Amino acid sequence: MCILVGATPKSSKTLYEFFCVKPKLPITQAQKNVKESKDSMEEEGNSQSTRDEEETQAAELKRLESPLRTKKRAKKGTKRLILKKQKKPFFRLPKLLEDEEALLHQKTLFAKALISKNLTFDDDLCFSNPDCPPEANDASLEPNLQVSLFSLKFALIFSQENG
Amino acid sequence: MDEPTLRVFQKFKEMSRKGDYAPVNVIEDKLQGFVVQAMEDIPKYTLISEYVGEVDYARNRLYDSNDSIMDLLRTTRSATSLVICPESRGNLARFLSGINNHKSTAKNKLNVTILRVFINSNIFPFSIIRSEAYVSTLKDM
Repeated sequence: MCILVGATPKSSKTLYEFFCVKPKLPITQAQKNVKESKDSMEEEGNSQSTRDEEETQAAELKRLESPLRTKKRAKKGTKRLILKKQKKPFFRLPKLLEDEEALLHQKTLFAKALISKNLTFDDDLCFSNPDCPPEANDASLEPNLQVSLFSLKFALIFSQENG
Repeated sequence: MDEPTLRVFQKFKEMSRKGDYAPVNVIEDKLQGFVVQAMEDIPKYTLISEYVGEVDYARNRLYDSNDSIMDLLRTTRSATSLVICPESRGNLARFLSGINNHKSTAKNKLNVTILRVFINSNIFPFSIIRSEAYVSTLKDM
């Protein structure tokens, strides 16, 4: 009875297992590892953080040692497809009003403003002064011009279509 | 500038010749005079109008009291620099109101900018929407 009292009630061992002495077998490597892991489980509370750090370091080392890009053999007869994106124009055209009445109202207001200011509607630069010909508007005279030059082709298209 | 952008400018010119502009109204304000007001939200970089008027040398307009004079060509000399004076000829750009340049905070109100575009060795000033303009008065420098 004494033994029973002394035995730990929480242990899962049966009485038979408790009193039987098992023959010692040579410990294999796997068992060693299990044992070590069991031992470490006890100290896990303290050393878990350090182990995590070690694992992360090891993973990082592995990643650094591995080559960045694995070389792949290019398949014969395959060509790279180069998809050219069509450039969108930077500037946007204005969207007109859909309502015709509103459009008319807009034009009337604009016309009224022009009349009241005694202005003539014009949509081109007016070189009315004979001393100031259109050739005076020469961009090459401006030293700090920050716009890249057009290719001659596009400039010609613009001049032809504008008359 | 590339070809599609150039096409946009050409098309815009065709539109503005007919008097078709972005959804804006020229309204008379008691304090400021005529102002341009957006009727709808206008997206960024939308072309408003080309700044047009009579072109003259800056030297001839040194003492001009007109408040709508705009630089066209900025050479280092006033004898060759050009200005645009929308006195007797003009379009929508004439009515764009300016901001108070003396206040540093006034720049936050800017929603229109005038960009000088270089086409065929000539310069053309275009007014564009600088930041998305909601239903409000359009203001440039």
